[in-house]
This record gives sequence, C-alpha cells and structure tokens, in this order.
Amino acid sequence: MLAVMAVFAFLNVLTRYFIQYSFAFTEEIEVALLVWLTMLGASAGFRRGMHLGFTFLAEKFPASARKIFIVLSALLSIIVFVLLLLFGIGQIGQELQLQITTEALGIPQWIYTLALPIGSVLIIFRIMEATFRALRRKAD
Amino acid sequence: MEAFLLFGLFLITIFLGIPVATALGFTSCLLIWNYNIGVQGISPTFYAGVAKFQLLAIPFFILAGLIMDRCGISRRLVHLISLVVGPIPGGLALVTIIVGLIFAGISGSGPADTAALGTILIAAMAARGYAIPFTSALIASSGALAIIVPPSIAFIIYGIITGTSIPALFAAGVIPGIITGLFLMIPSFIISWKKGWKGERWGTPGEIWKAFKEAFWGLIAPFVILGGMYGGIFTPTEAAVVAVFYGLFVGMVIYRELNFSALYELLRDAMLSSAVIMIIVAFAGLFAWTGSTLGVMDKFSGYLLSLSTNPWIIMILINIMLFIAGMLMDAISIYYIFLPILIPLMKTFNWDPIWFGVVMTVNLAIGQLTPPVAVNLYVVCNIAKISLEEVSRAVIPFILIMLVALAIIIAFPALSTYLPALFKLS
Repeated sequence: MLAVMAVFAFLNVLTRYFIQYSFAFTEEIEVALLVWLTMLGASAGFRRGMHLGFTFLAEKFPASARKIFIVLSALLSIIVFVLLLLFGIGQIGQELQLQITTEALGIPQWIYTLALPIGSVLIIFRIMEATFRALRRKAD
Repeated sequence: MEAFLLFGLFLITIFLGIPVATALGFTSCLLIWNYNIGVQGISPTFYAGVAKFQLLAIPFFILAGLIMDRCGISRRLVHLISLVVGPIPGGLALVTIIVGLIFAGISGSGPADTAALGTILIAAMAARGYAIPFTSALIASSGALAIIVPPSIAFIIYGIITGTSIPALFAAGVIPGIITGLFLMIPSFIISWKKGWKGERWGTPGEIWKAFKEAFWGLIAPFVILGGMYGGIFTPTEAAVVAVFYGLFVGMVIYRELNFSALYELLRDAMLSSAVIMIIVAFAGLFAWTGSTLGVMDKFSGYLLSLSTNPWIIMILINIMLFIAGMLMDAISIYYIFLPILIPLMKTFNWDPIWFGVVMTVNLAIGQLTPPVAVNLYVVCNIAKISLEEVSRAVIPFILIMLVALAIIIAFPALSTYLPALFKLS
C-alpha cells in the first residue's frame, strides 16, 4: 500500500511534465500525499524502531532501569501524538465550520488534514506495539 | 527561563533515549501549553511544516539514491576507477572517495551514500587486507560528502528556512565538496602507505575503455541531474524526479539488474527513510516556531552578539556550537533549531547566506561522523558488523582533516560563491 502511494506521487509528477497546464492541481495532490506519506511512513518507522534517537546513554543502564526508559520514552511519544490527534480533530472541526476549500482543486481542506488524526492513531498503536515487543524481549 | 525550559527539556528528553522527532514535539507542546501561546496552533503548524512543495524533493532524491545503489552502476564505477588508480598505496581507499563524490552528485543523503558505498566496498577492501575499522570510517566520511555535493537534502532544508535559492546553494556546494573529498585522500594515503595497503594494478587501455563504456551511464548521471537543473527550467524537485526515472531507465533497460519486486522494496525503503526525515522536519518546525514565538531565539542571537563584535570570533563560536550540536543531533533538527538564532547574526555581519549555508553544511557533514549521534557511522557499523567504539576511533583522522577543509572554506568565501555567481544564480 505504501508503494502504491509513492507510485501515485510519481505519476503525478510525470503528468506534470507532459501536460504543463495541470501544474497547480498536481502540485496540490503531491503536497497532500507528502503529508500522508509522512504520517503513514512514520508509523511504520515506529514499528521497526527506525527513528533516530540518542540511545547511547540509556543503553549504559542495567536492564531493569532500561525498562523504565523504554516505557517513559513510549509514554512521552504517545502524549505528543495524542495531542496531535486532538488538535488535528479540532483543526478539521474548524475547517468544516468555515468551509475552507483548497486553492487548486476547490475540495474541502479537511480531506487533506485528515492525515494528521488518522496518522496519529496509527502511530500511537505502532508505538504501543513496538514497546510491548521491546519489553517482552527484555523479559526473556 | 523560557530558553532554559525549551533547551533543557529537549536535552533531557533526548538523553532519555526518546526519538529526536518526538523529543522536539513533546518539548514544543509542553511549552506552548505552559506559556499559553496557542495550543490550537500545534496542528496547523505541524501540517504547514510538512506541506511544502520544495520538500517533495526529499523522498524523490532518497529514492533516486536507492535506485542508483541497486541498478548496477556502483559496481561498474568501482571497477573502472580501480583500473585507473592502479597500484598506488591506498588504491581502493582512493577509489572509495572518488566513487563517493560521484554518488554524492546523484544522491543527497549521507546515510544513503554510506550504505551504497558500504555494501560493495567493505567486503572488497577487507579481501585486500585493509583493516575493517579504517575502511568503515573512510566509507562513512566519503558518504558525508553527499550533503555537500549537490543534490543535497541539507541544502534543500537550509534553502527553505532561510529563503535562499536552492539551485544557487547546490552550485555553491560543488567546489567545497570536491575540496573536502581531496582532503579525505590525505589521511587515506598516509595510513595505507604506513600499513602497506596497496591497490591492484593498472588496467590496460583496452580494459579501461571497456570499463568506461560499462560505467558510462553512471558517470554521466550527475551531469544529467544537475545539468538539467541549470540548463533548463528544472526546479530541484523536478531534478529529483528526473534522477529517479534516469536510474529506473538505466537499471531496467540498460543494465537489466532491477526488476519490479526489487522496485517495490526500493519504494518502501525510500518511503520509510523519507518519513523518518519528514517527521523530524515537522516537529523541528514546531520547535522553531515555539522558540521564536517565545522570543527565545532572538534572545540567543542577542546573547551571542554581546560576546563579541568581531565577526571572525562569532564565526568560530558558531562553528564550535554547531560541531557540538552535531554530536547530539541530526543535521535537519540543527537547521531548524539554530537557523532562527543564526539568521539575525548573518544580517548583522552582512554574511553571504550562500557561503554561510555551505559552511554550516560542511560542519553538519562532519556531524554525521561525530558520535554518539552519527548517522553515517550507524549505517556503516550495521553493514560491517563492528561496534560504534571501534569505528569512532578510526574516524578521528578523517574528522580532523575535514575540520581543516572547513577552515579553508570559511576563510575563502569565493570557493562557495564563485559558481553561483558564474551561473548568475545569486
């Protein structure tokens, strides 16, 4: 599914090359896709533990203390994305109320903004999944 | 107090081992809430930080780099250059740096370049008797050239934040990138000469011609990508798309080493790596917005200015600060956090933003090699299966020589500004 999205983005650029006049509209879709790509890719990144961090110090602690670090780290990360989820919904609410539409396509802006709350929910689940897995591995 | 909270809280969360992106996000959210500067702003600022047309170049350049790595160009380039370099001491080490420079002209990400070089060269060099920590350190350093030589993700971010022309920055990076590469050859040559690590033999003209024809498509790739950007109407984003399709064409039609299942993997990897960068971009943007709104960034600039009125002393201070930051953070976070502090200084001293961008980027390229947070070293450790401690010791001579290159780039601004002026980009 991730790849399909990336391919879609490429097709958009390709069409822009050959059909010059559709510039503004493909640009809008590409940018919106970039937001989706960021959120979905970030959630997959959390599952694989790909996000860059300074784990050097935490790794110097004994296993029991490290567990606390893992839980604390997950908790703080989850707080961030819960906030993003809540305020993302707030933003959508406002966009619905004011009926904001996008510049090029004229479709409701909230369709693009939806990437933030949906992405946040996925990320929260992925963080929990990765954390439980890390804890279980430490317990073994 | 705000400054103390903002940077203190960020450092504490970083030291806890939280991913940089969420540490930036958490600190920003907490301060926005505490100082009541508009929690509703969190979501729109996050969205606006990601939804930028110029940022689209990042996933495309990452994908282009991955494709070039896998389409068969790299092996052919290494073969050609080993035949040309011949039996001089450190033969393969010099090959690594030259191929690193060519790759840097295709991809714009240090870790991606390091991975591309590492997968082919570590085994080859180990077979010739080169010590693995030395090889790994050299590959990580050559990979760091990727963000100095255009195209470069680092320059894209710098250009977006400071409003500097990205094509001009790309042109500015060419000469400093090559200089840094040449400097890397010095310790490679000396260490190899002392240890008795030699190259193979010179190729016969016939062999070289054959290898040249084979590697031709890889050799011209940087010119296709950059030439397109300077010759015509390409934006950096479009150049990145051209790079992707060029790589696909070479890999699938000419060398026939890429198939669709490999392409699927490449797309997935590119998406993951891009998202890891983009989520940092988003939260770092939020962090910078928080700092600026609270007036922390201005206060910091004022403080730095109060230390000295001599531009050179400030320049040295800035570089020491960036070097230390490079040990703790990735380049993109550093641009977002430090540029709001540094832009007022640039204005005060009338520094050329293009030259300053090159200086900062070379410094942050070194930051990709300075542990504990050293993205290129992580990548190379994974490939070579050695510890961060081993490679950290081996990388010291390369870091020192890059600092010399940095000093030269600071001292002679013309090295950075000549090409953009020549192309009338600035």
